[in-house]
Amino acid sequence: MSLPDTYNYMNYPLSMSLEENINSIKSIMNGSSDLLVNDFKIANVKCCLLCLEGMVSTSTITNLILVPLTELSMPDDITPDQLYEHISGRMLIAIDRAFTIEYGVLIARLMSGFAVLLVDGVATAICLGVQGYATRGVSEPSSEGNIRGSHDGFVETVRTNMSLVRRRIKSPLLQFDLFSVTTKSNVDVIIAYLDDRVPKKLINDIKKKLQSMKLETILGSGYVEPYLNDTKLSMFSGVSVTERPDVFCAKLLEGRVGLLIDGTPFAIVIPSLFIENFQTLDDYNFRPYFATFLRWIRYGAFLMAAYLPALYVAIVTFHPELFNHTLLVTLAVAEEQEPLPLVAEVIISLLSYEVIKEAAVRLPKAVGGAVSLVGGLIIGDAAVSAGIISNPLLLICAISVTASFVVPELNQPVTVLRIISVIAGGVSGLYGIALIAAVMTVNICSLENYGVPVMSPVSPFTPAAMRDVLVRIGFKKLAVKNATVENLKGVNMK
Amino acid sequence: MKKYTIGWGQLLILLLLCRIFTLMTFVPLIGEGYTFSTQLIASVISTVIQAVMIIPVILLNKTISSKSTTEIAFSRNKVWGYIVSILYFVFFIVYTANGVICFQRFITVRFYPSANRYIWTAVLLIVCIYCSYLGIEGLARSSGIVFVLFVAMFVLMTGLSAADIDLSNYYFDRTYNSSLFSAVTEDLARNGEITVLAFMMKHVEKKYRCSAYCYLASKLIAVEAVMFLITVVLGDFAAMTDYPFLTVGAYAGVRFIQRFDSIYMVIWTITAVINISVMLYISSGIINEALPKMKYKHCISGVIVFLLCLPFLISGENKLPIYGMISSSYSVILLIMVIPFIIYIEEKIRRKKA
Repeated sequence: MSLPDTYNYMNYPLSMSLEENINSIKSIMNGSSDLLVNDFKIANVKCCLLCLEGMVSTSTITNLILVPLTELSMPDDITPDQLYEHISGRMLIAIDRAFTIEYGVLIARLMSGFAVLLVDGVATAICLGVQGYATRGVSEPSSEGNIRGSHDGFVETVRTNMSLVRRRIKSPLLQFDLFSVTTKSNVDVIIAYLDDRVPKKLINDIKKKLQSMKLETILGSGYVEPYLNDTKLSMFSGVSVTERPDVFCAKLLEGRVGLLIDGTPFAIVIPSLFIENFQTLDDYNFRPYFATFLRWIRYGAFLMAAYLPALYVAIVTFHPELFNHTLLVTLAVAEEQEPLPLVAEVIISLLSYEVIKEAAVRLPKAVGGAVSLVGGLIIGDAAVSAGIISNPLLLICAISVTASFVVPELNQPVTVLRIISVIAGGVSGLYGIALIAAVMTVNICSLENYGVPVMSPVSPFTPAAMRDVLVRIGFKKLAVKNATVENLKGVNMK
Repeated sequence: MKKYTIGWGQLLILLLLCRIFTLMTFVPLIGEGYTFSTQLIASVISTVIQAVMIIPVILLNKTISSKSTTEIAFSRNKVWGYIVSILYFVFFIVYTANGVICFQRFITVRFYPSANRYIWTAVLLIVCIYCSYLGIEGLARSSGIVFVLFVAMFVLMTGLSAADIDLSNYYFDRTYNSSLFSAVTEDLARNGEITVLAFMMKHVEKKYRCSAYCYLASKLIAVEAVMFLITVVLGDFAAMTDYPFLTVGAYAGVRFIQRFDSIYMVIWTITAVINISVMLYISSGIINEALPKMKYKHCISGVIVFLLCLPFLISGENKLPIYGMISSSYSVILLIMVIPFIIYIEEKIRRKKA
């Protein structure tokens, strides 16, 4: 049998010879400079401790492994097997321990921040969890702010995220299935679900999809989303993303499956409903009447964000009879000074805003603020003063883009939909907008993910679920046992 | 083709929306000897006749629920299957073309007189082809949302027209006898969507009968309510206008928005998309049953509809006698009553022999 190398090592067994094992590992790692190899002797038996620089905690490895092993007093005639038995059976050393006889597992552990102890004459490696790589501390989520909810968010380390979820659902029904995916990077992913609320078939389907991914690595949740989306070509998605552990737990309690991916603070929730884009955790902390009011504000904001500029263009260009005389005169006076067609003015304004937004996002925060100020105030004011765009139009565009921030989850589809609607409204008035609205409605209504219609519970209509859609009723009535997605009408997850 | 299923309530709303579309673009025949009261009575009689007409489909559904009428015909005899499929296909395609032309006329006459009708028809059909491609589930779910919009529109329209309501506009006409028969046949022809029931059997798992009869009842209420509103708001003026329902909308207004007709047009357009898409879905479904290997069925149906619309677009005519004949009340009776009845009897005899 040939020796293992970088490209071919997964199922190779460890050798009895320590020297051969070390050479093989060095060969697999291709002489990588972060591999630390520490040889030492206990009694007369040669041992070796391997780890990757920066992946382990120096203090932990010193206190838990090096000190106990060097202070270990053993008779000189002890055999390697006896020493291995003693270390593995009588010394605890680390809580997270694993034993392996294959290079594949050994290398995977090494890459995950384990220290690997090899004993000469023994073909089994002891892997000790002493991870100590630099991680970002738990902090407030950057993309999902709230007022009265918790202020901790997911981080890039999957195990920390797992603990954030476990702390909120202290039940053995909460299951975490950890496994590695991707062809090159062996990224750790965790499927989280409540055992009594999710059909086994759904979990198996998701696992199969994840394992069949042909990705080399996962550097963000967006890499995985397309594989978990059963839906047809659409602007809208059947999966959602959250940075908040409390939201994640709420979804698990509703019978969804969660996916935590190592290296990204964004967890994926499968399946997701369109209506959830309008719900925030604050809705459940505020008084019901106020939560209901806010929810309707969000519905209105979504429609304004998507269609307000288009409606303005369509009405002013094709249907001025809709407005009363006073308003019509005001608009006519404002627009007759402008050199460009109305539709061109709106598209230029919206695209300029997108450019400014993109610049503000990509630049460092301090400079980004200045760009927003210059873009929003100075350029806007100058454009109006120069007579390039009219005041009412600028107002309409500003209201529309501000409204799009009210429902941040829908920002991507709304941005594109807004421009498409403006073009349709500019070409064929309200008729064009109606056609776009019809296509969007049918498209979103036809979406299904894992047997769950994305437009549920609005259509198919589930009256019982409307108390958290049209209104937000009080918790005394809302807290119904097993209110899961599976109980919605038209759902077929099995 | 994936087997789609919809609920009985969704079928009910879908059919109702198709009927509402016809109602929205409804042109009164008052100048031709009809009165609104004649039409109100004709609607009731027509609905009763339809309730009788759908009995064979209901019985067929009770016997074999998982197949459409054309599928059952195919399973018995291929030649018979092709004949039935061709009859249904021709009806649905012509019915769709009529709907497209009716809607295009409504849009271009009332809102965009200078629009290029060819392009607008093509765009409408492209949108409908895409929507029909998305499947009956998407259409059925959308219909629920659009129906709510329609109800809101109707309530708004009634509320804003409240000041113009004059109950004395409604009077009972005693001279309807001569025109009643033709008003009933006219109403039957306007209810072509009822033939959809012969195709939808395979899509609805339970309560099919309930769906069909609830549809007839709710359709009658909707038609009577709209006609009543038109009568009491517009009175005799309704006879002079092309689209009385829209005219009621044009009358309604608030200080900020002077006229509501353009806003109602938006809802009518969405209703038209749903209606035409459903018909295209059924047409392509029939092609799929007859010629399963054929590709791009939705596009083929759409292109045929466009070709059927061309004579209207070129000539500017509103009606062609051949199209009127194909989508007449007699065709509706043939497709919803006679053919399902023959298939039902055939099935009964076959089962008896077996």
